[in-house]
Amino acid sequence: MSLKLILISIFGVAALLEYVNKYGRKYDIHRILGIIVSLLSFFAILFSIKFNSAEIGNIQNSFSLKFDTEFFNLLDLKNVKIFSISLVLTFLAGLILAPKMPLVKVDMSRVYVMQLAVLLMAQANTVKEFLTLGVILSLLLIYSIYQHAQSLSEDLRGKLRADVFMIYRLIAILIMLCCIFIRVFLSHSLTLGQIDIALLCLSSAIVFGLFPFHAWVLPTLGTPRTTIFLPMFCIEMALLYFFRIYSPLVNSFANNSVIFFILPLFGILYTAITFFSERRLKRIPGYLYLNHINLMALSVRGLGEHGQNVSLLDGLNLMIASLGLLSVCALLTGRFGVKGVTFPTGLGSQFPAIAVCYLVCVLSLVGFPGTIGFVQEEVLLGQGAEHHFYLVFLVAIALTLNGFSGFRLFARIFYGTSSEARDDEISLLFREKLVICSILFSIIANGLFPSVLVDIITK
Amino acid sequence: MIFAKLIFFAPFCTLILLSIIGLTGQRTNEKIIKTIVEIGQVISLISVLFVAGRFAIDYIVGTNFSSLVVLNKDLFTFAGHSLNFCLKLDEISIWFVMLSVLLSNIVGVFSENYLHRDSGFFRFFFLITLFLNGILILFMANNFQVLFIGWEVVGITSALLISFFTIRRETVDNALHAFWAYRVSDIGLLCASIILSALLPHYSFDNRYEILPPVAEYYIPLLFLLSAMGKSAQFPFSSWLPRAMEGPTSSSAIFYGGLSIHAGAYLLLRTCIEFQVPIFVEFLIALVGLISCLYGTLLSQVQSDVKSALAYASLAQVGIMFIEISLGWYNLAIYHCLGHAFLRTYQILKSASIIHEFIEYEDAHQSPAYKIQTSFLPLFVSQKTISKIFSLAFDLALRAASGPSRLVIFLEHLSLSMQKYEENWLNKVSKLVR
Repeated sequence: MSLKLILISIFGVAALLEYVNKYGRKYDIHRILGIIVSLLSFFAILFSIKFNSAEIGNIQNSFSLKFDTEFFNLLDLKNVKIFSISLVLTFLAGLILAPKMPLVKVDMSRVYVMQLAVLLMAQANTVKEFLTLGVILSLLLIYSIYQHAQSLSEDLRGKLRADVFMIYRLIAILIMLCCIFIRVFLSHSLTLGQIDIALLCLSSAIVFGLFPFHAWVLPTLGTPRTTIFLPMFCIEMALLYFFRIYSPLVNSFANNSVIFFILPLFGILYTAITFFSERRLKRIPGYLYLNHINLMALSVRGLGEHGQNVSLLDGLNLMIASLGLLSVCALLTGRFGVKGVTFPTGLGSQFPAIAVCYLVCVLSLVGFPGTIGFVQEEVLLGQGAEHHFYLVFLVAIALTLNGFSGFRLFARIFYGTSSEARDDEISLLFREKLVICSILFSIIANGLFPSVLVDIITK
Repeated sequence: MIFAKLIFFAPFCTLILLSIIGLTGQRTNEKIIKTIVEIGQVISLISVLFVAGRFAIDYIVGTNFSSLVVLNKDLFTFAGHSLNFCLKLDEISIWFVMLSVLLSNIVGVFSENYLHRDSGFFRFFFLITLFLNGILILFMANNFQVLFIGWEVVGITSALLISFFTIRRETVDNALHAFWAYRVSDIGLLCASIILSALLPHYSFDNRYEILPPVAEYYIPLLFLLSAMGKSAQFPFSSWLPRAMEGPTSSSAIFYGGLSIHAGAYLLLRTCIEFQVPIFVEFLIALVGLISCLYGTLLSQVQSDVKSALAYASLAQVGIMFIEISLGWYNLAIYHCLGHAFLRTYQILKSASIIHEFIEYEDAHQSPAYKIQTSFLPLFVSQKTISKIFSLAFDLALRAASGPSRLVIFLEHLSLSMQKYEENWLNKVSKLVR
């Protein structure tokens, strides 16, 4: 039985159970079901590494826009599995952290369908399959974000956030459809050059938020108060589009197409400068995500054949650390009801574990030694020094600014003392500690012993 | 040699144990924390004394002592670019490692009472242990990339300790100010170490007086100078140093009296020893040192609190170290560094009680605080004695380094006069409070 069928069965059954029993059960049963689903899919993917890759198909090194042709550029068989496993673990973490009440207005059955779509996109054989799943996932995300905004009664602000996301995502879908139309119907009658590839690159860039198509990122990744699923699905989908569409395509353009070089460069500097003046807790994951996605775009364009491996390392760092930051934001806002962040807050004395998690995740995303981010930074700058000297200076400046901004926000969020805050430490639930410790362990362990991860990616 | 490895691994194991204590929720148990920290520090101290003894014996006997490898591991290899995490003790780093371990022991003993029943007891010792690990990596690094790792760890622990008393807003703002200065200076070291690893792929500190490729001949040493200026609070990056005194006295002593403030000088020392630095860069180093020295001396006269005055005084002395390094007096710079570190650590530790002593007791030597300090610092009888010992040592070293010359005499007078200013200032304070 192929892996895809196994995953469809597991998640399909779970979605059906949730849909049928949505109105009668206590939340803990939802959580138990979710954990079982996650573990089953985790082991299914893990064991499938040992099996023949017949269901994945032959690996091709060149990207082809014939929609039925198998394609598999950056993510080869091994990396697909790693990526899929990390997606499942992210889902598991989100489930464990979700608050002890009905998963507010994000229907659990829809969550299972979205997670299944993400996993199938990671393992898609053809462009057609990938893009179809992408459209389905985008529409589900749009609907979920609208529903969530409505349910939390955020009125105008929530609706605006959903509107921005919807507009960008629909534009991306439209451009993709244009590309398909051109490819299928017009390629025989017109000499198109690389226009269809350019359109596909453009739609991917919108999906993953390359500068200047990033306006949807910050409001959307601003964590909903009760769950981290929606932002994580957005990030996962963005990374998949980056690795499977943008990354192989962008290097098919001539070397003098500097636009793919300049845009991410501007994006890095723009993000670093605007992050400098940010004050809101919920925007932190968004800024750090933007910085890294632009770094990844720069890597694939500017670092030659190793750029894709560099960006894969960056992508893994981004996923783990973003999960940590989103967890921190979700815990503070959803579980503990923290509303705003204006100094002094005194949250550090109440939530020391959360403070440590936040600091380590931010330090990982700015390349602090001892974290997986340092490995990524060394690799990126080391390759950059060989190809483009000035890249080293610009990236170092951006990382420096981000590091300062992240630390300043850490001080704003966790330092000080509030007249309303108690000094006593509030202990986390066991499941929350488990997730936080796992995130910290994965960041620090891969930082102290990076050869394992680097060897897996490069060999 | 097992003792060489214990110098690093003892504090590292202490850090791991403290992390476990933090996870298990035993953070309020001071006894456990003290025990673990003391054991780690004592093991490290004994190990470093053994290793130093071995170096001394080699020197006396006349054999060429080889460096001792503490740790040598390839962290990762990626497309021909590898990060070799190598820690070594050689004739330069042994002095700084000894200094680090000794000062951390002293500060640890001091802090056990100083922070007794403080809510941040565990946090302080965790950060100090993390700092010790970082500074040992910095001093024992065998290449600039590993040095950068230690450099960053020292920077973040410094910022977290400045903001130790998180309740006050000024503390947090000052910590951010210091962190900002650190991050700007880190750009230099990061870029220089990366470019160096690209130009000279298998470079390490085993190669001395390496000639840099022409394309990097100027800007790599200049980038190192930028980092050194930031870390050692040289002009124009000096504004963070007095603000950094917001932290606990013991952390201020070890950071801005003893170790962290000298990290920039150590970086420059390594740069000038490892590479043939152009004369223009050496001139710039000397110029920065001279300006900082004069700036620090003048500003220390007008400070209203003792820790700020000591901060500027430290700045001035480090400026002189920069001058010594630029002139090629590397041994002198090392001795100066050691002497200054002990003196300043003592002064900053004592500063917390100095005003109290002058107010409460006719004779400051009768105060309990003074007796406590002299009981665990038996070598440091009084500040005047320390100053005299230091100035004598400095004088002898200066003369030994280069013989009598106008520049030597100028530097000697400069240093001695600054010490006299300090003594005069303290006398004025004592008269004022009486």
